[in-house]
Order: sequence, then structure tokens, then C-alpha cells
Amino acid sequence: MRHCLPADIGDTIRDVAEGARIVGAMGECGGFLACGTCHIIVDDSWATRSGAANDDEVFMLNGAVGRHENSRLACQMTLDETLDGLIVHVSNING
Amino acid sequence: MALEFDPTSATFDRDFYSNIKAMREQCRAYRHEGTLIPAVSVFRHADVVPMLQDWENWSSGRSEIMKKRGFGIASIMVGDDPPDHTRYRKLMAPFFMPVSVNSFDEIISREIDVAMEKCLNAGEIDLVEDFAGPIVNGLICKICGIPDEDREFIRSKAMLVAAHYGKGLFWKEPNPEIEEVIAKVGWEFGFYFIQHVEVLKKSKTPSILSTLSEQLTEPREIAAICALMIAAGLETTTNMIVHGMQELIRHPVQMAKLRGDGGLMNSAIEEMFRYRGTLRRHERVAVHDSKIDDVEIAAGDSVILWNASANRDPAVFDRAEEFLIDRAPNRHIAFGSGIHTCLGIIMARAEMRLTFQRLLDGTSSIAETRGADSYESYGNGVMDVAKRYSVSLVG
Repeated sequence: MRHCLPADIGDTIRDVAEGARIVGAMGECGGFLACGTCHIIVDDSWATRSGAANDDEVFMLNGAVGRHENSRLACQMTLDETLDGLIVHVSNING
Repeated sequence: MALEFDPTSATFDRDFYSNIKAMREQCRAYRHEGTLIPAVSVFRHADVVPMLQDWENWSSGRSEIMKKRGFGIASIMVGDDPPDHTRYRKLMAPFFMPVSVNSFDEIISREIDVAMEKCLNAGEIDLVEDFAGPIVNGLICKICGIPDEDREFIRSKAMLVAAHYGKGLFWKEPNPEIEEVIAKVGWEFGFYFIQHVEVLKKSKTPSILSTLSEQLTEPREIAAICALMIAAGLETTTNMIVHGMQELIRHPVQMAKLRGDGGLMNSAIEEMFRYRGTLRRHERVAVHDSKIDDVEIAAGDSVILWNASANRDPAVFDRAEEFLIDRAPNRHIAFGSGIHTCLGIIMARAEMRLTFQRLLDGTSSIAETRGADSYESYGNGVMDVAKRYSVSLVG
């Protein structure tokens, strides 16, 4: 299922997911980098433009199932103008 | 009539959900009168969640008196704020992330095999002591490198703590007998684990504890982390299995629905967490003076955030008082929220999923054997702790 969602600058992907009730990207902890359960995968078309995961994020992603080279945590991706149109994939990978 | 909410009363546990519903409907916050530790309870989802998440204003730091009346040895990390909390959490997190927990599936399945062998078609069994306890204890002991002959020691001590844990905040007079019981378990665990870790190191036995101990230098820290693993991982999930099953038995339509559609297993388990989560409340300490409606909270006051109440708040959950295994969405806070979100969420879910799959696949009927007397609680109240649950598992 594809969702096209509005977002404000400064929102994280997790915030947007929370607003749209997309559970797979909402995570457990509320956006505190405490659980690693808002694992998403950035679409290949955006991989080079969306920035790299920070060190703490990489630490959590190291324990994730289905880790991909474009893996990110939704709580750590803050939206700005350059990410308008960003495509991310959410699957049942957060169990 | 003045509101009264006393978690130490004899009937509190029995009437817990009606008590908490009445409080949630009537007030946002309640000042406990006459408690030795100044304490305020908070009930509504809209208050509980932001307070759980705001660690700068609602601290997890425990005073010495709270440690004494709680299970102080295990308050490492859960009783710390950043940066100490962050340091300990980073040490422990890798063991409880999905990749690590997936490797536990085989251990869990073996423990379930043993429990099923013992309990299936065996007439009346105690779901607490014969089934759930051994499975969860078996996993914890295995990943901690604890030998089989010490399992009973670990479980019996953890039970002692669970029976009393968390009530000290509400005492109106000192309770030295219970303090002594809990303190004694703390000493015994501390003594045991410091020795145990040395044995693991010498024998080069791989386990979570030996790996952790390489990164912790203080014996006090090693003992505390070990005690925390037991305290946080054992009675919580044991009781979740017991109470999850109790709800399925109490709701035969839901049980039949789950038996008929295994695809509902994950949502059924989430509903068990929401409806009967073992830890009914979290504690925080006010950093600043503040006010919730007309209840004044002073810096240093303890604040009790009733997540069990928030999980039945009709402002968030439709038909909140009903047990519905296909509930969606189900954003419960059985595991807390914010930086202290339970580190064991993935593990607890794996234990529940594998256990309930086997229980339902391997039986044609699961029923209580003593009618209304089938279930007995320790009556803790602030934690949902079963003493006995007499059932039969028929293949």
C-alpha cells in the first residue's frame, strides 16, 4: 500500500507516520532512539540525497532484522526542503 | 465523597481495574495522603505518556529511601537518568535487539517442549509454576549462563520480590519485614552473581553476563545489571503468559477466534499486553514544582504513572474495557515510553508468540479446573502477579 503524506519542515518521518497511523514506522519509544523499532528503508532513488545515519542510529540499526544499505530509523530523519518527495519503505521488519 | 485510592488496601488488587477506572474518570492526579514518601498518582493517557517521555522534568533517579523500599540493587539503568542511563543502556541494548533475540527462538522452543511434555494431558496443572515460570526462567538462565541446578534459586528469589515489589511508595508506616525480605534477595543475588560471573569468565563460557562483565569494572555494577535482567525479564513475562491465557479463557469467543485464525496471533498478544500488562505503573520523581489541575507537586515528590490505566483510557482506545484480539491500532504503553522504554520488548513478544502458538496448536481445550477458585494472586496490586492458576491442557 502506498501513502502520500503531507509533512512540515522539522517533522521526523516518525512524526509523519504517527500522524497517519502507519504503525511500522512509529516505533515503540515515541522517537527517543531507545528501541530501534521504527526501522525504514529509503528508496534507492533517494539514497544519495537523504543523508547518512548518525552514529547512535547505526548502533541501533546494527541489531535490526532486514538491515539494508539504505536502512534508517524514522525517528532520526528530520525533514527539510531538500527531502520534499522523499520515498521510504516500511515493511513488517520491526518485530 | 472524598476520593480514596490506596494501593496498600486489602482489596486493591482484586478491584484494580474498577479502582483505576474510577480514578481516571474523576481526576487527572491524586495526592496520596499520609504516605512516608510524598506521592502523586496520574491516570490519564494524555498525562502519562508525555510525563514518561520527559525525563528532564520527571526523573528516574531514585532516592536512597526509594531504593530501600523498592528492589534497589536492580535500579541500575531503570533508576538512572542520562548520562548514566545512556551508558548502561548502550551496553545492554545489543543483546535485546531483533537480530540477537531471533537467536533465542531455539532456546525458547526447547523450554516450551519440556513444559508441554510435562503439562499436556496431565490433568490439573499450575500454569504459573509448571508451565510459564519454567519457560521464561529457562530462557533467562540459559542466556545468562546460569546452570540448571540454580534455576530454582533464581525463580524463588524473583518471586519473593515480585510478590512485594513497588508497594513501598504507598506505605503509611515503615514495613521492616518486607524491606528485609527484599534487601535479603538483593544481597543473595549480588553475592551469587559476582561469583557466577567469575565462574563464567574462568570457564570462558559465552553468555550475556560474561560479555557485559568485560565492560563493567565495579562488582556492584555487575551484580546490579544481573539483578536487573532477572527482575525485569522473569516475572513480567511469566505473568504475561498466565494472564494472557486467563483472558482467553475468560473470553471464549476470542479464544475460538484465535484458534480459527493464527494470523491474529500478533494482535492478540498486543491486546494481552494492553489489557493485562504485568507492570501497572512506572515511578518518576518531580524535578521542579508543578501542578496538575488542583494537585500541587513539589520537586522531589514521587509521581506514579499508571500505564495500566492509560491502556484502558477510552480517549485513546475504542471499547477500552473489552478484550479484543483483533484490536487495531493498539498503541498501548505496557512497555513504557521514551528513553526508558522496556529493553526487552522484542524478547517478551517472541516468548509470548512462541508460547501461545504452541499452546493453541498443541491443545484442543484449555480450561480452568477449580471454577472460581482456579486463580490465586499474590495481591501485590501495583504489579499483576499470579500465585497459582489451575488449568488443564488437553491435546
